[in-house]
Amino acid sequence: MILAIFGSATPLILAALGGLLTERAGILNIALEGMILGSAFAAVIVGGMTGSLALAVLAAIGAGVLAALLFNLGTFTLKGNPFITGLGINVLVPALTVSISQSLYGNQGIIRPDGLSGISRIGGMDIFIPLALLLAVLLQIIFFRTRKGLIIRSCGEQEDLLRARGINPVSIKKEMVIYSGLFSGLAGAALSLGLGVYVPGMSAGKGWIALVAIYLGYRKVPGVVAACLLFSLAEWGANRAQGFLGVPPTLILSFPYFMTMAALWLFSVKKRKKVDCSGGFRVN
Amino acid sequence: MSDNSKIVLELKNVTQIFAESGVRACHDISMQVQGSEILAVMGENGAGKSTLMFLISGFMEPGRGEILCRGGKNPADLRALVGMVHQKPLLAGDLSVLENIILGPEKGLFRKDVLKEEIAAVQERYNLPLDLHLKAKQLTAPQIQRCELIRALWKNKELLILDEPTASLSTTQSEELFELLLRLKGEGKTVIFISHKIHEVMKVADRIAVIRRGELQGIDAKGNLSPREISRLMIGEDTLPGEEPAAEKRGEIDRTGVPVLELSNLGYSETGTRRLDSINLSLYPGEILGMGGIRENGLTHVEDILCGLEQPDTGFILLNGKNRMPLTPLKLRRSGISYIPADRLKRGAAPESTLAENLSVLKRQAGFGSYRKRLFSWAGQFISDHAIKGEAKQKVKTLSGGNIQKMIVARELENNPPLLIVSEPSWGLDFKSRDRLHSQLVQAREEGIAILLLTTDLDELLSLSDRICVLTEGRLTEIERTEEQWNRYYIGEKMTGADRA
Repeated sequence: MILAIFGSATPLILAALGGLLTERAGILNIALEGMILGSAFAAVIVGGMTGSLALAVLAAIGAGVLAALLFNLGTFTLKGNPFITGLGINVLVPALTVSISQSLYGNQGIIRPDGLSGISRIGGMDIFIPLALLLAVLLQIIFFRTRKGLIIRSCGEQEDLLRARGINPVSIKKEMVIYSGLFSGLAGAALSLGLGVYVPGMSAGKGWIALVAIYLGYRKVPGVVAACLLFSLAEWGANRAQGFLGVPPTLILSFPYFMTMAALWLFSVKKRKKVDCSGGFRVN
Repeated sequence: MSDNSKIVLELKNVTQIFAESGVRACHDISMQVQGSEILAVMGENGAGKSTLMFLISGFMEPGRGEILCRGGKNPADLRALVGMVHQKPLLAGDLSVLENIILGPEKGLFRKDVLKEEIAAVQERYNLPLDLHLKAKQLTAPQIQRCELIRALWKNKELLILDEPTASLSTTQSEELFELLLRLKGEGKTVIFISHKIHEVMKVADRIAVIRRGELQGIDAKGNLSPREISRLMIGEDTLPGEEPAAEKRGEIDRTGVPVLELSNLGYSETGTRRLDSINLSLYPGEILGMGGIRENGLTHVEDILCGLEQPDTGFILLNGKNRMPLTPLKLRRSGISYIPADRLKRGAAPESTLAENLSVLKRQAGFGSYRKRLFSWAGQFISDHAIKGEAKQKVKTLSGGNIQKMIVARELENNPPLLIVSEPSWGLDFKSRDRLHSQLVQAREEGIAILLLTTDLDELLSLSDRICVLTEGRLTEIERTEEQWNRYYIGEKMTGADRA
């Protein structure tokens, strides 16, 4: 059970960590959802063609970074609204995967190449599980023990401070978006290679839930990981409950999403209570 | 002491114009900064001091001209040379003091314990106690300043810039800071500090530079400048043409009745610093009470409190003899009081809306048919009646500054308010519109409107006011209508604090 929960939490954790990087740098990466889906697709396509785990993961990362570059182009180079750019990517990717799969496999549905099932399992455990936890620890170290971490954390708060210290905040943001593309790439790979299958729309809102997890976890690495595990627990519970509860299964399956909403609401209530001390500099 | 080999920094014809607003913050400034000296930069608010310091610290690059340090003009060199203590807090609130101090373009891991020891040693040496583990957002204004000072000393910067360091300090804290600055000078460091308080400058500075409207008025050793001269350089000598001695034509004002506006013992503090200290005044119908001062010396706070946006810590505001605390903008408007703010585009008008929409508060457009049509035809009439150059359908932001002000003044005077609060009415206006505006204000006074005029413009203050009071460091002083006091020099010295130097 624990392994199952961790397994389903892994893509979520990876995506949320990537989102956390951009969020801390002061730009919310709305495009996580599209990045995950694109990478999941790329991982299965390349994995199916080559049968190699490493190449499949690389392809997934490549797809994620490509989407991140697109995000940077729209947001920074062309100075568009980051929300619109992100939404654009989220709409573009599912459409793109459908047309590519049509031209490669002649269908628009599930892609199940041979020999891909269980490719990421080594010794009975999905390698993405330890990878995600390792990256979480690494990120915590980067945030609080390196100079880069200081730069990232202050970028989301006081861009002028960075300018005064001779650092360009925009290039930091661009860099973080690319890293979040990389993390989302891993998330997509974990999602599709774990099953050995690509299903259209298989990201199923994971990118959005990852965004919620960032806020729910108070923008801190341990909190974000815990929030992701909580969602996976809810998902696991909902899957199990289908069997024995007399409630329509679609309603049960939407439980994690309801929980997301409730959590977000509770968070905003809590935040409103302590808004006095969080609002900038203290005035006495 | 002006030995050429000791020049730390040289400015050559530096000009900075902000592209968005077209404001000329610095114009053709050339000066040299020498090693181990304390240079005071003085000037009114908005004179361009802060912009100049941003240019020197490498935060901005000058539009024209160059800043040379060690023979080069690379912004990175400037940043390595200059440590700046900003006027507005420039720290990341969620980072600790330590993290804010060590933040920089360097790469790699850092050893927290080693750096902490280094910084603690600097703190010990210069006696600057501050808990390094506090989050920056928990700091008070003097602590924020101390944090930036520690960083500059830890980084061993040769040139320190302090932007209005004493604005948020108490007298003893200021004394301590000046002692530290003198000590740093003794150690061979150079200090530039910005101030508009002449008495402090006379105490610590070696040389004084005065900037007015973006232009360098003069730079000289302290011994060659008297407080009086500095004050004149700061406020300027020019007298405007076509000045009408409007106030003197008046007879006695009846001050026996109930005052329209009464402030009683008003006090206000901000981040632990006293901004306004027991302000008392009363304003009667048919008079213009001018309040002069430097904006940071409390004039902005008086404006904010009177328009209901800020609440005073102590004291009361009485309108027509009734206590109206807490005063809110809504209450003010309900009482029919008009307000012409200094910040026209943010407070005085909605720049994205049309002229007609900005005027729509004046009249309820009742009747049948299209509301829009009625509003626009009425507004078109109003606009041509008041000689505003614009169309009813035009967005306010596309108008010139003078026309926006014309619109605001016409709107605020239209309904014959009992009280008019005016702040900096002639900022950025040309002579003609300025004259027109002044005669509008005088006419309003003739009609029995009580006017409170907040202004930094001495000529305006003298020519319009029936009574004048001056705000200096939060305290109000009334100017007597005598030969000795009722002139721009006396008031200017009061305003800048030169009389106490």
